[in-house]
Amino acid sequence: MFFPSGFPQNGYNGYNGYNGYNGYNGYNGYNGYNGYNGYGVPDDGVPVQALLTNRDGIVGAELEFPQHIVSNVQNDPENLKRLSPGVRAQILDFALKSEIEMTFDKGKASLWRRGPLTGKKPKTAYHSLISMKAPEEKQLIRQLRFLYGYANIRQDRAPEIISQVQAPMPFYATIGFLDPARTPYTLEFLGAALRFTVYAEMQLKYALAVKRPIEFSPQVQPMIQTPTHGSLPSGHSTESFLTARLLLHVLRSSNAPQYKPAGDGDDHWGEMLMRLASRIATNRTVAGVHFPVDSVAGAILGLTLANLVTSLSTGKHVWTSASFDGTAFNDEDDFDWHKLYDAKSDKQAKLLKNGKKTWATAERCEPLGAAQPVLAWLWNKAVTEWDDFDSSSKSGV
Amino acid sequence: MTQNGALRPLHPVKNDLTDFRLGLSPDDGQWWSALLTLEEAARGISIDEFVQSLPPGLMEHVIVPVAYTLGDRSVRHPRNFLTVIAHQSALHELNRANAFPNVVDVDLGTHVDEEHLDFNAEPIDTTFNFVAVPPDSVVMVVIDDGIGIAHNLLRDKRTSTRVLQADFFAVKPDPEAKNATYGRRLDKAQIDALMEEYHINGILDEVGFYKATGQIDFASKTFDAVSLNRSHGTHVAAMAAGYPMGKIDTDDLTKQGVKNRPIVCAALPAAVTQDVTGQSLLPSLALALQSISNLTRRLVLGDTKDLAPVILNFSYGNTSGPHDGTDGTSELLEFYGTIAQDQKTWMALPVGNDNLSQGHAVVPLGKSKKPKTLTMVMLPDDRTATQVEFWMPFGLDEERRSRISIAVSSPDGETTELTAIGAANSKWICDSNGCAIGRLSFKFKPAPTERGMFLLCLNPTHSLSSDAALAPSGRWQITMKTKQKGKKLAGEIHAWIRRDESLPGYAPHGRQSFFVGPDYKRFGEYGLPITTDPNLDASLIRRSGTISGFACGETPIVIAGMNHKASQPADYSATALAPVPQNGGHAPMPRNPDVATISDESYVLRGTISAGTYSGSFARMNGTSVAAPRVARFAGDHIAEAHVPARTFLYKYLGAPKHVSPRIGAGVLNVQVPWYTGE
Repeated sequence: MFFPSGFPQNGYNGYNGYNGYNGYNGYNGYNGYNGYNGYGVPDDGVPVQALLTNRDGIVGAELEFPQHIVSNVQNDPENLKRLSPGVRAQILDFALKSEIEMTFDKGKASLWRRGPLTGKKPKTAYHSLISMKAPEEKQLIRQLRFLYGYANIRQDRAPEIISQVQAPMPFYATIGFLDPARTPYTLEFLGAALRFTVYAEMQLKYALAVKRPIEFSPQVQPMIQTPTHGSLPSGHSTESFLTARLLLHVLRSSNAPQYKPAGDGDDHWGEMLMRLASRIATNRTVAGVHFPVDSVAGAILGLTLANLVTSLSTGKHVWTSASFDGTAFNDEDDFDWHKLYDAKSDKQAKLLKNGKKTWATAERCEPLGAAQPVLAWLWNKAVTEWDDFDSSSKSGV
Repeated sequence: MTQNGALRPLHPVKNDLTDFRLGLSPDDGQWWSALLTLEEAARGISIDEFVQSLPPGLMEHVIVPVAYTLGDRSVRHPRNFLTVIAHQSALHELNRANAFPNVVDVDLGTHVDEEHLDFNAEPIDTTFNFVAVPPDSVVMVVIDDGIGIAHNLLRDKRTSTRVLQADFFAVKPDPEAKNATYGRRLDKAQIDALMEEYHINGILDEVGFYKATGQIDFASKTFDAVSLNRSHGTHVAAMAAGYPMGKIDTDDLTKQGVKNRPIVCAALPAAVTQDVTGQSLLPSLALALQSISNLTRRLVLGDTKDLAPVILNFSYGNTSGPHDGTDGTSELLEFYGTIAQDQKTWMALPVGNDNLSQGHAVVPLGKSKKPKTLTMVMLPDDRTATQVEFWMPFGLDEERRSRISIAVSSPDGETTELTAIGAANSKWICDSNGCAIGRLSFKFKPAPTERGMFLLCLNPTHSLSSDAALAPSGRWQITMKTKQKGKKLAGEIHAWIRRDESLPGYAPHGRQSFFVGPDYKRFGEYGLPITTDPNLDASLIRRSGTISGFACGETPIVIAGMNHKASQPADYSATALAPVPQNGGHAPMPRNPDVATISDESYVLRGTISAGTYSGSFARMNGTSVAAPRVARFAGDHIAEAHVPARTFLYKYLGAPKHVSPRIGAGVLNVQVPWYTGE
């Protein structure tokens, strides 16, 4: 897989059967002198000894040092193109991860997003990004019924579930035309967002410390290893909805008309991406490692983080301030993403209630300042990959 | 029998299998479905009369589903059929041999979850309004399980279904509808409304739709195959009646190759499908037929009063029964097939897939005094009961029957012997500790069957319950003994082991028992399986006679499966009974399959393609159950022009030979099913 590791599920590589996507491994070529093959340049690998003797043979007597070297521009995203993706990943990770902070108070875990920095010694204000409360144990016990029901379809879903133990990007590549050769920056952008998402979701999982289904009954018997981190929010749900919404934002931001909902028309791309995200999330319940309510919380988190990433990358896009209160969630309910989000309008549901109790909110907020430069650089590269062009748009030929 | 093996007194009962099965289940107020066969030969009996004959104390434990209309309840029939939902205690009462003389049989169905019952449902009025369908319509009826009614091949437009009515039994009722006692009944308007509701951004949210119909409910014990990528009912329904959707802006769909094939369907409970023995089928099948007939006999062609022709496809099979057309399933199909006198009704059934399952044996009577022994292998880890039926020849009188006995020896060496004395008797089969692990019974089935039957019921060989009495796995010896004195004892005893395997997608609880013997050759030259009984076969185990016990009735056309590439009958496609020597009287004749059609592309490419569960998907399934709907599709194209019964039409169409083949009937029918979605 192209995607950088760091996903907590990587310990279970043995479950991964999606070998057909090994084509992504071509990007390993960046990792050293052996990487030229990726561009079609013949290269069988060069021993260091050969480079040493070669220099000895051609270097000649010492020359004067060159006088006219232009300094690099400092702290400028133009430098990013000179960096290997691995190095860029560190820059991007810093940019995203430094945007949020977490607090925990009386059972409520909150992620806060940073406002604009001011002053030489930076000062800022934090704004509520998302807050979450876990459901009570008695609710989870009632949700166990879903685990038993979904277990009936494990054989049917097994190939998908096993293929989705790791970040299931190939599934998204069946909807959007993702390919390392065609859309490297989109993949890099999604990868950065996913690492950020794992970073954020793990904090919430850690803080809320919700038990996994396997701890409630000896009959759940998950078909894959239960990860050691908490059950809610579901990481797969968070990541899959983040990926779906973020990819949709990239597609819609390109000039390719097919990705935009036309007038009163339907939005097939958004709907299909969300259906995929939902299936990936649900498959974790089928597998026996998540309650449906975990997927609900995960989807809200993923959708919210996706909006934040787009807002940080563009400086124009709205972001969402959301909340999820598991104690108010109706434990009779299965996971249904349509309640949470409308793909065509790209809006999360403002207010979701169970009787008189509010279990989810989402408020659209105006951007806080300009785009993060490094994120904007990658965003623009990614969006351009999806632009269509025709002969009239080409000049000077 | 009780689950823990304690012996209880055996009282005479009407249906020994029902008694055996009720005994395996603790009486904890559980509802069951059951089919009551009512009889009053002279003046007939109506459902109302039966209900009125019940004492008040029993009435509250018996529910008559509202699918029986007020009109139907008042009609007398010499032999009438009624599916009831009843408590176990009531069924014990009704099944007692000497109680309720008008109830001649009690066939037990399955447990019925109380949450699947609507106690407030109301019977529909007897006034039947006729419903017009386009003049070239042929109504396609599908009874199956896991029917994905939202599949695009069953719609005519994006949010318009061709399904006029769908029954789902093992689902939670719609409290507003009040139109079904057990499960739900949806009509086209309701289905279309749900399609509209779940059509979001131009794509139908099918999981949401099926949750709304009640078919998918992961929080309950309901399981429906529409939650799987492949489902038998969707595959079969599309094979029989699947056509591409029309374009949204065109009303005249026939111009786009869409045929007017309104669909009426019923999905049987998953528990019935999962129980491949067929022992629990009859109540829900009867209820399905009743509900379906409530609509089909009201459908008229255009503005005429002509009833629309009907093709019924029932792709289920079974190994039990007398195989002479007098079994319960055949009787029900005949009853409902003629309920509307002026309605052309053709039925398609599969011949079955048990050709090589070693589940049938024939023991000749009278040729030798030497006892004949069959060996049956019961596998370990079988969590369901094993049942074997031994059918005597037609027309043996009581004296001759009483000279036949059967001895069953367990792998542990315990032997139980029973003689066919009287009209019915039975014995427990016990292990060496005196614990009941099975029952051996005899019953004489009066006319039209007029045959005696031994029934061997054995407990599972494995259970998760620590106090369950288990039958030992291994080789069971079953010996037929006869006394040759007095009138000649001739004919054959036919033994059939009921199906007991696990179906794909369902919980793997059953393990199929089978006969073995030194003279049964499985493989011939080059290691290929032998698919027809070799001449002069000394073996008691036979391929001939493996035809489904459901497929022996008079009316249905019976479909065999072909391996297309090999141009041969599929190995598993069952074989008809060889002609059976009769003992006078008017015994029903054994049935052949009528035609064969493709059920496998080749030995490598198994199965044929039809709809997967979800729109836009296709799936591959094999077996004669997917061959039957292919012929149903063909029948749909010809029933309007035909003025003869289905079999006569088919034989004429194929230029049938004088002697039809026991494996492919009158020949091979080539039915093209061009799949294209038309979107």
